[in-house]
Amino acid sequence: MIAQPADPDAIRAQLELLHPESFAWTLACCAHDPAEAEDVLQMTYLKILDNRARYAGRSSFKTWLFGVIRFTAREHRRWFWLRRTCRAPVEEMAERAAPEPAPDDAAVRRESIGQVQAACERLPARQREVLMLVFQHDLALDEAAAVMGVSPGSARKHYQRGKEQLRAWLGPQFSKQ
Amino acid sequence: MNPTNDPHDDELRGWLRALRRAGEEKAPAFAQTWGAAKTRRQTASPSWRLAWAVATVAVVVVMAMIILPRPPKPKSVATAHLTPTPVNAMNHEPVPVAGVPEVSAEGLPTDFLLTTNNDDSVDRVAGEIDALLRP
Repeated sequence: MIAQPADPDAIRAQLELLHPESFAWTLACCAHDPAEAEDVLQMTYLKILDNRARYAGRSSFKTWLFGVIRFTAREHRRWFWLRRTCRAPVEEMAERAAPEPAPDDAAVRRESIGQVQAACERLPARQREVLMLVFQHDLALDEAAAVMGVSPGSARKHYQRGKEQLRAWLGPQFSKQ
Repeated sequence: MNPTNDPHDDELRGWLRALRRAGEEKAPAFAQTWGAAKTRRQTASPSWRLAWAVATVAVVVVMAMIILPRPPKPKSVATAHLTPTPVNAMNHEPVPVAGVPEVSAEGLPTDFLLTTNNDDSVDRVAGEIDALLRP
């Protein structure tokens, strides 16, 4: 667990340490739109600078920060909900995420990752979030629940359903490896 | 609480980690994001606060208009006079209200007997009764 930062300099240091991971989480909250993710992360830092988001030490700093990012991203997306409704179909996203087919292993892997990303985008938001937090960012289910603002039982339910759904969609992918 | 492990978890974790690494590679430098946030704070903060204050005041005013009780409408004089006149059970005479003839006219259904001017019919009925009573 990351030490609890007490003063602004310590908070800044922790933010800097977590910055790449925070950006990856912000991307996940913003449908993998880098420009939007950067905007949301700036707004998150702005909230922290303005003391509109205050770390009270009730959870780890990372859990708190990810919660603020998630909330800010949702706030941001609410204003631009039209963008969300105009999201490209999953198949297109898979194509976009994956590079041109190439015979080498790296390309095959990138394609697989693109398909996993597209499948994750198809999941309901909470299922996607809990899977990202647990598998991408190594949070325990309790911590993921705290980030998402749901009960641990609810988080577990979303986690199980999300995994089942992904398995159903990516069955061939899993069996290929 | 740790999630349960099943054979596919590691694979899924591997893929999602790769996704995360791809995301981290796209991350702008911390100094850039932090600096941009600071700039936004200096430029956008006053207008944000002003907008927030205006919105708060507007909400408070609307809520006050909805919640606060309004003073009752003063009853007009005519309405007050139209209140049904209490009638004494033993005396069926309508109570006259000064200056408002409509109210006294709104008495009992038999009031017309007290005010009728049709004396002929009364005389005729009286004559018929006398004829019947005559042996």
